[in-house]
Amino acid sequence: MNRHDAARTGIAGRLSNLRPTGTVWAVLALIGFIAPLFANQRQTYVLMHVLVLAVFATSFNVMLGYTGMVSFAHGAYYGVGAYAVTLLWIHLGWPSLVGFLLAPVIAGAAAYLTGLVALRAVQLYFALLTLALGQLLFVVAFQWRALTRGDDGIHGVALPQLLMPTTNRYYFLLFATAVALAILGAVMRSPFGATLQAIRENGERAGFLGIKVKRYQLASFTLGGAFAGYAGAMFVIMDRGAFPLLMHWTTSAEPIFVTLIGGLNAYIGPTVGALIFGLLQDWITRRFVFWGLILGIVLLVIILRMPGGTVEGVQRLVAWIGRRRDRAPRGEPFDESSQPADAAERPREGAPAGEPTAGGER
Amino acid sequence: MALLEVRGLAKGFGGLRAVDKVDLDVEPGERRAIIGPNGAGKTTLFNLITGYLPPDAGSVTFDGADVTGHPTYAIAKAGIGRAFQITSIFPGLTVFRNVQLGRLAQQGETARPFGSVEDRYASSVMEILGDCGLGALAGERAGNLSHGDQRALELAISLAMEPKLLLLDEPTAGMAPEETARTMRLVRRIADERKLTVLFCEHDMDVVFGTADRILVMNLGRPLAEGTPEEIRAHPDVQKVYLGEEVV
Amino acid sequence: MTLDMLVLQLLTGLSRAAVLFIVAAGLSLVFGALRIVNVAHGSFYMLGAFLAVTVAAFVGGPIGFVAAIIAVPLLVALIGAIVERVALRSLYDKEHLLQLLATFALLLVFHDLVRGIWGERPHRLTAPDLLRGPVDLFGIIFPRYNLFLIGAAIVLAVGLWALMTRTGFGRDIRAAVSDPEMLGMVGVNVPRLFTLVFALGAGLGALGGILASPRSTVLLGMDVEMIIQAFAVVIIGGLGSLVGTAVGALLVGITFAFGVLFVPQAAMAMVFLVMVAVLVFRPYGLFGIPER
Repeated sequence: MNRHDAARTGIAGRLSNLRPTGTVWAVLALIGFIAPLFANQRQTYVLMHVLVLAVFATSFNVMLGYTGMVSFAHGAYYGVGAYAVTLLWIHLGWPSLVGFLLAPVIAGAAAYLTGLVALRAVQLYFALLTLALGQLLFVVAFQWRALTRGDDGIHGVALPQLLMPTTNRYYFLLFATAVALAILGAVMRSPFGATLQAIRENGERAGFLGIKVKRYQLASFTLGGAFAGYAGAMFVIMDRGAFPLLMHWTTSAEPIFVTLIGGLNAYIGPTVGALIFGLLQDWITRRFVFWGLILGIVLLVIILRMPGGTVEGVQRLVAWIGRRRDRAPRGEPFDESSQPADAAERPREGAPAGEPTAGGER
Repeated sequence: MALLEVRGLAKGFGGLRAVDKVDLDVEPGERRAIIGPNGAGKTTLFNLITGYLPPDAGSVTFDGADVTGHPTYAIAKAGIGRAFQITSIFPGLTVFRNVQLGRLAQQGETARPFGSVEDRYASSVMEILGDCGLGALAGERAGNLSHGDQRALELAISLAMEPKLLLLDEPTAGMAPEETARTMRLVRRIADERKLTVLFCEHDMDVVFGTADRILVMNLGRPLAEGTPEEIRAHPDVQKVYLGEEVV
Repeated sequence: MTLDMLVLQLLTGLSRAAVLFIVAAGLSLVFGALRIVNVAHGSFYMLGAFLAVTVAAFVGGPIGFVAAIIAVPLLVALIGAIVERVALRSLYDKEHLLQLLATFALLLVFHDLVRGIWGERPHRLTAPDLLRGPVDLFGIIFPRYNLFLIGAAIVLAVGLWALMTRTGFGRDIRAAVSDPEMLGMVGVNVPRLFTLVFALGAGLGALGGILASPRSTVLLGMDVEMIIQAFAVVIIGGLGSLVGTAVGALLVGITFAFGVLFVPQAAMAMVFLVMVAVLVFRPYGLFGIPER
């Protein structure tokens, strides 16, 4: 929140009280740091998966939440990143950490080239075109056995000795996550990030400001794709392998779910979503085979009742508690109609706002 | 030399000639109004000048450079700002951010991927907001503003671009009389303070005659008459097609 | 490569296109009227197949298949109507994306429901003897069932065309496609129309699932496999256009059939390449209208 605004309007000041994200980040980091001390091998894997998901979903939200574009090809770039590491290792013998660094570059290049094609269309057709392009990449990975070993996938990627213990790998991924989230966060807070939000809000008006909308959309798509590839490379460090399913469009749906659960209107949303999604998935799949059923119902409830996801839900709750405390001790029953507009419709500086729109300008 | 020179500009939609061979010279510092009945081609003319529509024929020269058919972003960069007939803002962002985006665009910094955007150009943004009477609303969500305030915000966004020429498409459309008066006072004051050239089209004749230095009257896509407010008031053809019905 | 083989492959492609058309027509119809890209359409397809297995087994004998063809689409249409009322109704004024994601959530729900009811084991649906075995078409030996599929699709296409052009219901749908706001003003009960269209779409999806089943197995996962192909069809043809759906189904079916013949590994890739190529040159599909 801008200091000027905060000083001038009490409303803005109240809003900033609702968003103590700095504290939340610190708490998350602390939990991330000490969690392995209490976790067994399996639980550490779950946590690593949460980290991968957090980066994957945040990279996706660069497009969805900030630029207002929906892509179904995001899984493909995730897979390209994973294959970049494994293929460089298996065919050229390059160390996996070199592959790790190259993965975002290669995935970004793939996203740039496919984005050039996909951005010929707008909105719904853009989304569907990304679906086709992503599936094309999936089919290539699935069928080009000489390159990728097809459905069998590639397993047992060699890691540096230091990364062989699970705990060390966890800390490596924690560090990698911190780096990725810091970079993306800085970019989203920059003038460039603000411009992306302007395009999401009103692409036509942005054009009249001298902003080349398509070019920025392509930049957003490429940036998102590059960090999806980075997440894919993180996956290889965790799993030591890659397989075609990583590129399937149902994988592309995962960051969408994670983002929706956490909340697409806040930078921290996808990370919160990853934590909830990862832990819930682990907890449920070990007790109950119908994970999809539960995920589907949770998603329907979120879409129908709480489009802002968990982050906004918590913000509303905090606002509501605050108001109750302000009121007479007796307290009136919670008034549904007067309440939500407050937290939900306030501007979220540095974080995207509003309903998601399908991609493309106009 | 005129700041804006339009020569023989034409645009048709199917059989309809929306803008038909229009010539227009706007001198620096001038406040020029375009009037005409509905369908006279005013908005189309604006769309052609700002590059939103490609013309079928003719040329647009701005500040000595040919900008005919250039894309909207290039024309915006060249210094033609525009406020819309239909309010066009960034509703989910704060009022402050709306105007700040104009500043960023004007400074060519929209692609800058580092450095926090938060307080960037805060003082000049607040100055523009103050000028437009929006200072107290800086932290408000733009979409929550009243209609009049949204129009003022749109003007503020355009001003943040520091245009040489400002195009206003019916700046007071849908406003109550007091709001209309306030908005036009604002336009006049800002135009004077910033030495802005303003080209606007408008239905409200009080607004037109109270603000414009010169007036172009259009009818059915063609220029019908041009001159000072007094000349236009006295022009017989204008009275016939236009003023007769509306002014009394 | 003989001419016979080419013709045989063409016919195989046509029978594939037949199923694709029936399924995709439902998808396209729903999009045209409701402006919803229904990912759960794949679920209706799968649900149709699984319900048909159960109904056919319950009724038994050659009548079982016929009973399934009649009863199951109606049942799935009813399920579709309920889904539309419960889950989608409140999303019409929201962004496309939320609708898309809601139907995706429904896909997950239905997938696990089918898994819970029928299990992970593959099932078989057998066509009556009358429709089985080979048929000799001027020296080309061709499965009789495939011929039946082509015929069924043609009958259905004519039926849909008549429904859209000769009935009040069809007139309302076409009006909804071109101008939904006008529709309410001229006194059409729009919510009811939307429910009916969605039910019709779901029924078509189920019918496609039943008809496709005797040629392969009834298997969990056929929902996702089909929806992606149906998307390819409607995207190539243009969302909301029945003619486009027919053309798209033919293109996809025949591309796939010949793809299998020449480069078996890349058959599906070729379908996606066709889709990308069409969209690059016609971003709204061959017969689509630009989005409003």
